[in-house]
Amino acid sequence: MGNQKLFKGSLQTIILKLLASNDKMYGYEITQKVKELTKGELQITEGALYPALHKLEADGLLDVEVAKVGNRMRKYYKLTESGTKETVNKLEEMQEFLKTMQQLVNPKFSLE
Amino acid sequence: MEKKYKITEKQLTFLEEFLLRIYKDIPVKTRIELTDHLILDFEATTRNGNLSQYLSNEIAFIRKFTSTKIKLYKNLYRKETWQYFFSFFKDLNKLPHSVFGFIFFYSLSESLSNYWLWLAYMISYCVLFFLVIFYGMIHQKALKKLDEVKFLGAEIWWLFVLINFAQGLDFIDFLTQNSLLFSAIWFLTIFYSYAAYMIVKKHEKIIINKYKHLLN
Repeated sequence: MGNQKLFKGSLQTIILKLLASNDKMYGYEITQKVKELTKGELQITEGALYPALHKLEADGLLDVEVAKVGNRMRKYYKLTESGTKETVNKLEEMQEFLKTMQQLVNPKFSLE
Repeated sequence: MEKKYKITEKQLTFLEEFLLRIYKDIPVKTRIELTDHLILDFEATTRNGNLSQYLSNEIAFIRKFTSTKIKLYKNLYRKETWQYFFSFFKDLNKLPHSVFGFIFFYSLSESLSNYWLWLAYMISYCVLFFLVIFYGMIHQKALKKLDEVKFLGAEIWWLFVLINFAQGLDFIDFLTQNSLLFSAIWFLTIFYSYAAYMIVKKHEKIIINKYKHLLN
């Protein structure tokens, strides 16, 4: 998929945004949610997702919760207080970036 | 979420035993996450229900998953320690300490004989080393296997290895005869160890607070 490279740098923002809208999610659910929301256009690979989740956890932006689901345990991620603040910052950064990119690739078009 | 197959109890036990056998040291939460992911992916993608075949195909991912999680904290602590160390030059409040420290080490390097200089160096390092080991490390059994704890304080070890390396190569005479070089190494050792100690103390508080439920 050609645009996979383009969204690689936005992975953390995507994860934070999904968690902001879904309270708590587990890794596999995030990959499926992205696939569903983008109608299969974007696919987060497991090799990229988990290091990003673990990095966010290590940075204190995500908290984990283990819950029993059926006959096994599941690890859920949710935003911490600083994670919630960081989500707002990251989304603002993303908006700014998209606006700048629009100006570069399509000067007449505006997002506003 | 598409699901074509449901893993059997026998396969679940097999998977758990497989991960325990091959990666017995991985922390519980990491194993839970990995197991859950493998089950969901297996259920969604398998065509014949052959778990052994699926695990063979996924072995590279499993290896990467377990190793990157551990490396992540190691790299994080190293990065934070270096950042703290560089703050001795950037932070105006710390800069006088750095200047004084370097002048102090340099004056000792100039005035002491090689033997006493090396001894002073070793003693100063050992004080910080044991400070980290005894007062900084997390010794609670319930927390020791956590990813966050495994490499906490590990930054102090590479300096210990460096010193032993210098001793092993009979490099000490060369170092102690060059006051400026020796002062720079001394400065690096002491200030980096102190930075490592400060990072340990910072994370110790966070970890104990985060996992206090495991300590009760």
